[in-house]
Amino acid sequence: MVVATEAETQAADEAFWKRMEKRREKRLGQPCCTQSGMSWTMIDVPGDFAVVIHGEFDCVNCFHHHVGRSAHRYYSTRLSEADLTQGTTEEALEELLRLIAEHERPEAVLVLGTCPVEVINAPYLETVERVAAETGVPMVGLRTSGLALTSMPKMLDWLYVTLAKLPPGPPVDARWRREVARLALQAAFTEAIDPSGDDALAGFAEAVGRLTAAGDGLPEDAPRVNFLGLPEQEGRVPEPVLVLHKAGVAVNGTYPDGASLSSWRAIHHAAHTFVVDEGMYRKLTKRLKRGGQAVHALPPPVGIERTLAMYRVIGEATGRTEALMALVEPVAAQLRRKVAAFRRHARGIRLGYTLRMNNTYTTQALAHDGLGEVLALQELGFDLRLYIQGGGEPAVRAAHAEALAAHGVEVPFDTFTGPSAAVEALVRDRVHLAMVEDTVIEGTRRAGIPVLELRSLDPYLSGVSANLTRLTRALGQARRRSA
Amino acid sequence: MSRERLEHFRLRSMDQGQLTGAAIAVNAVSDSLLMQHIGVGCKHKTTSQLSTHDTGRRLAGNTGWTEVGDRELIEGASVRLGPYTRSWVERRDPGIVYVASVTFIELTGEDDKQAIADLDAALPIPVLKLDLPGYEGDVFSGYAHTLRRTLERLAWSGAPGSRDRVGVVGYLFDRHEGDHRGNLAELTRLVKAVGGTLGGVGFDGGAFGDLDALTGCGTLLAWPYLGDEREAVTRLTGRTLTPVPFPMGLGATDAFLRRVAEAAGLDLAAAERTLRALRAQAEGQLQVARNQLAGQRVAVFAEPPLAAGWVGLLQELGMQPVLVGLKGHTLGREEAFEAALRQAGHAVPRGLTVVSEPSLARVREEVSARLAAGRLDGVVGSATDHNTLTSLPPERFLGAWAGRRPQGAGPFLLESGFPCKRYHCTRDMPFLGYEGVVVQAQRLLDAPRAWDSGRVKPRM
Repeated sequence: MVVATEAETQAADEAFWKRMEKRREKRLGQPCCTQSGMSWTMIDVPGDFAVVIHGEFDCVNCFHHHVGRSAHRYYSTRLSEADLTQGTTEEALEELLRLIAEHERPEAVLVLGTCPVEVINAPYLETVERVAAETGVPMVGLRTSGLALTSMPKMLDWLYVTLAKLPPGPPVDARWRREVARLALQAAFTEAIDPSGDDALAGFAEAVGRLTAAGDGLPEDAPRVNFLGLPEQEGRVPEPVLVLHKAGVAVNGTYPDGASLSSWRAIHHAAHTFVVDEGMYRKLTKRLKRGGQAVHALPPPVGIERTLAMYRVIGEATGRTEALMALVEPVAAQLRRKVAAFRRHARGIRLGYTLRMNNTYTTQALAHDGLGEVLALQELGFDLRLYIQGGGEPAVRAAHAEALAAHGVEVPFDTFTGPSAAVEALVRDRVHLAMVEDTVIEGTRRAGIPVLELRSLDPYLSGVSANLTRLTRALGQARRRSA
Repeated sequence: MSRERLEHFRLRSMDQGQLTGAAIAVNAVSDSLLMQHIGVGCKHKTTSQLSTHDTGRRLAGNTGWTEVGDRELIEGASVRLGPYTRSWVERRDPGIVYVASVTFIELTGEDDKQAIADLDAALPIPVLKLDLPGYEGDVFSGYAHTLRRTLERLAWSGAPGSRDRVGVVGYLFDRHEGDHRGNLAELTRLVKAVGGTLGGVGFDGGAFGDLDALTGCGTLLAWPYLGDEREAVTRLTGRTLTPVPFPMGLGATDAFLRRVAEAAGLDLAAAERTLRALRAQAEGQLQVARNQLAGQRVAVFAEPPLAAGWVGLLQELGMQPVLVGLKGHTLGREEAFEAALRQAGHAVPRGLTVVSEPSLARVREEVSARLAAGRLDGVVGSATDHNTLTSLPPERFLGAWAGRRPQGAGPFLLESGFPCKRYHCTRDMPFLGYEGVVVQAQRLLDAPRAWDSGRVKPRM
């Protein structure tokens, strides 16, 4: 037996490391397990569907069960060792699918594969197709797993085009539903609609009737549009939806964040789809175009100028430019004055921003390679520096520079290998303020650097003031550090 | 095909597996490193699952991953263990390394055993292989297995210390927060009060080297969470392990201390006087809670030891447990739950419904039916249980649709078990021992509600 010396072991290890990094180093995104990603995404989609994880039961632990509205719609085939080694995996799957069809009969069933069934090449796609045909319940099998490493955006695109391919449903009027919910709460808690008199029910029904008769208040021939990748505003209807309605444009649906199963099935009831980062939805947008929709690219709407650019694109496509700009330009003018004042304070403040460490399946975080916020921070006058996780070889750095330039980001960047190396780099560069992801936050705070979480900037014009307030507070901390 | 059969396949109130249990155990050893020889999605079974629950220590900073995908599987995954482990050991300087793999890698017949044995021989610290199939067991068996593998590395051959030096084997330390700090402080206090010394606990959040203290304990207590590993631990230590009741609740703590006194050869009469005095002290602080909480009907979702602890404690406060959902299966099912209740001197509450391994759909269904009938006031469970209830409509107890003015609140939601999302202990807040009863009574008084109109009907 030959025993390697320590030096030989070290040399062999180093060569091994370099080989391993070559596979992913040039990309800005994290690799992902498609089963985990799809499960994680669907768990907060409202609707009447089932998700079946075809694998051993522990495969359901690739995502959290304590968040999301639809955890109770998930199933596992709970394959045993015997199933996996003796090839009886499809019996469990068929039994489960037939039980779901018989007792739940949802609008759709998604069957997600896992690494164990992938390794044994279980023929589950055929099982799904056959049971769907025999039961009449729409069922889709997806060859997901953690084996064929792909990127998070690609995984999401695959999931979304799958949802868009489900049997179409009628248009969903989200505005109507919101108004009814608001009315119901009003009836319950105030005297605006008297909940205690004899006419309680009649009064409420009358109010609902007036609402539905009015519809969304737009003429029949109003342009109908989808939004794809529009950033959410927590607890609020996204600003563009409200602005477009005022300008006479009907919003068919906003995807993917907040979309229900019914919304996905209604995606085809629009003439235009506006997309933030079309590169993230290649399959989905191709499908929409094939269905006759015009697809238009939008810039990431964080910060004043990019948000105005977004409204101009929408206005041009729908013939509503004048109406839209009349609504937003006055607001933008006021905000520009505030931003100019802020830039004076931000001058000289070094802000470090980490990329490529973030484990996330949210479109807002993944769009434009996670650079949406960076573009807004550029507008605000910080001395911005990026820290990208991965190797630092020349070819890698060149690829990063190219990717950043393609997004219009021209700021200095460096690479780092892991959380502690990120903190070392921030300290070395005497960064005054950091926007970093969660595994780096603790170390950054301990190093005395004020921290803002990633994705803490609000989008649209309505987010600018809140951003300035938050950043002004952070600036105060940063100035104390730089003193 | 029966609807009941569908329940078998549904996502459960607790569906975490052995790998998660192992991650919890590894996280409980403060100088540990977890090498994950797994696929990319499997990482969520470890660090992600813990990240919500434990704000005290980040396992993420103490794990490595060998990045196994299809290409690596084809080329041979075991060769990755050496370079990755050596690199991470150099970076982190741990006291012990645990290597966990997953089924799909094992299916390919890889000989990771040899790779791990070579590392164990070459590195100056233990490198342990964990056997954690993802198709069997549960989070508790994963934890107990990891504990047992760790105990194998301690030196048990020496003579045990004095009997009054007591060690606990199988303590479920699932986060570095004040609940467990409080528990351990309370156990230390109680054992000392009856004449012994708590000499060591596996695990207790300390470093690997600190576990040596267990070998010097003359009396070893088998905690309920040791489960099926008790026999193996008995063999490897060559010692007697005394099973003890889970000391949650007044009656259970009494029973625990009596067993400790007996096993450790302490003065039983003195121990009895002490425990009665300590219990009386705790009871004296419970009157307000008993007045306010009396008669409230509660659902509990927890594994058998914790479920029995809660049911006993709730009864001691005059509350009425009406529904229990038992989590996991390696710690036993209904029989184990009932036996634990009896050990604590409690009878099974009349009319109590017990469901084993309920699905989330079942949790919703059972709670919803009782809310609709006006027969439930609170739910004790994990963030997973509570989350599944949040999409239930609130109109049943807000009164609006009954023509009454909306008022009142939904059930109280008390987080307990794994994972907790909102409940984090920044100071010592035990749930064990007599002090634990007082603390949990306070929590019950302060528990948030699922929905709250903010209005209470005035009482004349």
